[in-house]
Amino acid sequence: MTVDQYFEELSAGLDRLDATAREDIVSYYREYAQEAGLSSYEQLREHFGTPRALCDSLCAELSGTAPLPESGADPGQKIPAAVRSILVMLSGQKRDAGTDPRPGECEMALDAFTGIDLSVITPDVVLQEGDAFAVRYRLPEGERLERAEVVDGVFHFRTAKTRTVLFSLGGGEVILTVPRGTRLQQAEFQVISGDLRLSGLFCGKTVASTVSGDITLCGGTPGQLSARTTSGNLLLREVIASSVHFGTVSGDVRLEDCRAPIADFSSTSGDLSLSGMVCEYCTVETIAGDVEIEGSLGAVKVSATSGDCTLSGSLSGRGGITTVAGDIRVHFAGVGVEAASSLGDITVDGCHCGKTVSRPGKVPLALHSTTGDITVTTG
Amino acid sequence: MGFQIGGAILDFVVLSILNNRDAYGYQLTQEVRSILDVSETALYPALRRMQKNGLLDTYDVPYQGRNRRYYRLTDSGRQSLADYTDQWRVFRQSMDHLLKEETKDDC
Repeated sequence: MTVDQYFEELSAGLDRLDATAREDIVSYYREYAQEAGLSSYEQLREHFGTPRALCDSLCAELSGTAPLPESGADPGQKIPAAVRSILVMLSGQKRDAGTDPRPGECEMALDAFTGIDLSVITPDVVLQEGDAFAVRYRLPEGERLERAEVVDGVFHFRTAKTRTVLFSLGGGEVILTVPRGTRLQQAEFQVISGDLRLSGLFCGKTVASTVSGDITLCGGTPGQLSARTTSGNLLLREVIASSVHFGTVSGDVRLEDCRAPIADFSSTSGDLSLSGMVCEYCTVETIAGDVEIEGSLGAVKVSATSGDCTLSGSLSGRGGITTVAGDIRVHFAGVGVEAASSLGDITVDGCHCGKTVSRPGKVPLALHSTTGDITVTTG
Repeated sequence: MGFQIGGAILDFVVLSILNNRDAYGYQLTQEVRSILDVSETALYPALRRMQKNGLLDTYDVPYQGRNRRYYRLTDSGRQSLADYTDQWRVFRQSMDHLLKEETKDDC
């Protein structure tokens, strides 16, 4: 493998960007490699990561959907913990010392609404049930309120960055309260670094996105649920949705005791764990994430590159799992198995079956791996 | 959400370095990495963003049969550096004050 091959792969992976941006990136890293004396594919990979990893990181950074770049080392290394604690103390002192309310702080009652359009940068966002429609918010330094009003039955809440703050203390929160049993038609939440927590949401269509914040839904029926994060995690507990569509780069996805007729998930490196899942049609695509699914499933289709896949519970429709290097472990009673692994071992109900196996059954399950092992139990 | 160091610290460091002299990508990365714990790939997106925001511009200088791309501050970049420097001074004074109080407590 040569230096040119590295940059060819890098350029090919950047096809989402226009030609000028692509050339600029390749030329920058080529120049960097020459200055640093990196003269082989391996050296480049050691310094920059694989071309694919560099592409993903660059695309996320350049599209403004990634947090501050981190190295593999402890991010707190250059800022001692003691100093960080002092900074937190300082911010606390600032808040407690004044008698006037902070300019970014407010609580207000709202007219009834059936739609939410919320977009903030740093604060955590909470949707909770209460007695009346209301919002309470506290914004951090460097972020101001642009809009907070109900128009045509939709609550609009939007903040904007006022200036770049050198030492961001993060923080801030927006707490939105709706009366118990409120049925929303549509709710859209966009948060950059804050967490988003929705409980008891009753909605026709819910769209949620964060960059580094976590998204948590506890209980409720969010309707058609679509959620996306870059590095934030997704957690759903006891949620009943008409469909779920999740995407993440490095965040983990966990669903506990959820129901959705249709569910699809995609991740680059985030793990996926579904337990107690009831789903008629479930699809999962991941590159390096591990996949664990347990529940009552109709049709299921899983595709992983290096992640391991473990599925169990009951399967009533067609099943298909494909991996390149990941192992496949499946426990479904009474399924028929068509399995093949080019370099891995296949074991069905404790018997070693070589590289391919075909056992007919009422419910067909196709398992393919290039180098991973495949283990199936049907009893 | 815990305490976070804002991404602006990277901008502040880059602007400060370029305020002393123009620099090319590799050179700039080495100087930044002597102060901040960032990966070797972290700087390019920051430079692109700062360039897009008008804080930096570039020029090429021939070097050993190829070009070196140098980054330099624009007027907006100098203004932004002045703003960061003000914030830094206020922060440093607060820290000095706090640390002085801590020293008194220790005595």
